[in-house]
Amino acid sequence: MTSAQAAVEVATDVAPSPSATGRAWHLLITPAIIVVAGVALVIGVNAADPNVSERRSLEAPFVLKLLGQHLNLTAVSTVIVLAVAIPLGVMLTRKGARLAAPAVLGVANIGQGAPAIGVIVILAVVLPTVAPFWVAILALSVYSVLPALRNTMVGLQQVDPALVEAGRGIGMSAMRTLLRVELPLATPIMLAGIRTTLVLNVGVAALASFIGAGGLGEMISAGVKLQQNIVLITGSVLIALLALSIDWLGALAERYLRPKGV
Amino acid sequence: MSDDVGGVQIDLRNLTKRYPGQAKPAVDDVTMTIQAGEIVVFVGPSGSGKTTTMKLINRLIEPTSGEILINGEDARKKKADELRRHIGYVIQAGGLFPHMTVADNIAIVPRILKWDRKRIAERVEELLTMVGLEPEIYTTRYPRQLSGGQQQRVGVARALAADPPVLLMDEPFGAVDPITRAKLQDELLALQDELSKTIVFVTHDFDEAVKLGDRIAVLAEGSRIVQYAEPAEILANPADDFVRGFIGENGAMKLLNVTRVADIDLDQALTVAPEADAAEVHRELADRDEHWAVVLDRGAGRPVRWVNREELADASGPVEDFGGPVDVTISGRSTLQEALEALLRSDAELVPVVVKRRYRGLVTLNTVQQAIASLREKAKRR
Repeated sequence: MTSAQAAVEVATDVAPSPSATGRAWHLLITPAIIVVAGVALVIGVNAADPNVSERRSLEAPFVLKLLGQHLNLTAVSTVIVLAVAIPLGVMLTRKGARLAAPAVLGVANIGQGAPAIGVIVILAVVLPTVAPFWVAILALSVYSVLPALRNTMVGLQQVDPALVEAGRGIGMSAMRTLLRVELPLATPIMLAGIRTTLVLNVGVAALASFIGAGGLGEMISAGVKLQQNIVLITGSVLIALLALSIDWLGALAERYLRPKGV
Repeated sequence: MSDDVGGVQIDLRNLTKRYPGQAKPAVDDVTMTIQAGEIVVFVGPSGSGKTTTMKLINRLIEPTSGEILINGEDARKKKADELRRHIGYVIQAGGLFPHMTVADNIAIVPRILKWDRKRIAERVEELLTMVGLEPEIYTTRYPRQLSGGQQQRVGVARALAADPPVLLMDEPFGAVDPITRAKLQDELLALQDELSKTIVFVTHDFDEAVKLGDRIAVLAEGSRIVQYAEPAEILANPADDFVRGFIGENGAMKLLNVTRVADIDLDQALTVAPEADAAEVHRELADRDEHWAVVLDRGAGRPVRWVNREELADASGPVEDFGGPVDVTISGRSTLQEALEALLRSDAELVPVVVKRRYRGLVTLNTVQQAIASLREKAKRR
């Protein structure tokens, strides 16, 4: 809170700002769309009357396996991104390392600026001995580190310096101030960045199939190669629905993990 | 102030803070002693280094050279974090953490000091009561549910949590409206009457300094101490034009505000008992060439009536049948400004001063004028 806000001699009730969180029922819109689109997909696929080979590509165990791979790619790359971006973001906002921030952000920008497919393919070429799964993970991480890193930094930078000084002034150590004051107050912005990272990862993981790392992208490439439009469409819609679901979980997290009182 | 001094003495010796790349030091060779249990106000224009000097005391800013002795102990030899846990720190708007409840904010230092839960809860309740916030209502509130004044009170409570002997306050009341500010100032003084902490208070508001300070340090650029004295002395005898400029045009009025009636030479008038003979009183007044006499009630010595000489001409009988009742009195604890106010409000040219229900003397416009002149004279001789 800025001192100007604090100066207002009027007590207000705690209510999360509407722009940041929205009304609770808004959170039900996305799952509703997902359910409707899912049902439409099932009905559509059945109505299209797929042939034998298409049917084989649409069998539940096979699709679930690809979905599992896709989630695995997304989850592992996101964990790695968080493990890198949060400590790095914290470091780059400390005194002394601040000067390095533009350079690091520049590198992260290149990761995201380059076409995702290019990053994946180039890494696969450069690292021929590494398993495709890990090449894909590396590519996803490079590609999606920026939002998490930038939002960690922005989140920490927007914490009122007076509060940090107040913490130090009453005898909190630098680490305690970071953990109890700075990170909690940076949480809403950090969560928004992490949510973006997750959604990016879901989308880009579709490209992992190009280097043989699996995922729902396989349905798309198979659909293209074998001219199986039903498989192609099913794969695309599943990826979209997965991205929507992850985004929705992110929205839930943003809403319920934000610190109270802010 | 109570005799039980809760504070400790602070000595700053040749304290200097130099920032790299700046020609002049921000704080240049400051030496001063802050007496235990006093409120010392650092006052000066922006850029005078008053806040920097304060932050050197709890080492939020590390001095380049010099010594800080708190209760005789070298503050620079301690771990900064531990040092600060025993120095209360209050900033503008309280500096409360918005994501923590009032209770959690206050409990920060006790938790670091590993107090047990029950002790912390009791302390929070005690402190909230002390700063005038009902614990039942406020412990679970978040800062943004509080008004600016309430936030500031919680900020003070948080600073007092571990009962530190020293309190540093950095323009704490700068962000609240004037009415709330006056109230917070009064509350701080009342709190200080009980606690007798050593308080270093930074402000750019000279009136605030005069109101709160046992002593005021007027600081100029580089934290140079231009004058370090009691408010009345600074007002009566500013060290130079810089201080004079800071006091402003109405220094004499401010002096009225910091001087107590009990501390000045009062006028004396003829005092008589209610049953004294009117003719006798008239003669006495004529002899002394005075116009007024005060009738005191028997025993208590309280002024009850005024009589004037003209009224008593050719009068006879007890003097209490003449004149009018005393409607306005002032106490010894009143300020000269309040005395002046009483003079202007009443019809009389004089107002009796009553200390512990006994008559002590009179205040007239002339008394006030004389008092200011003699304060100036005394300050100059010092």
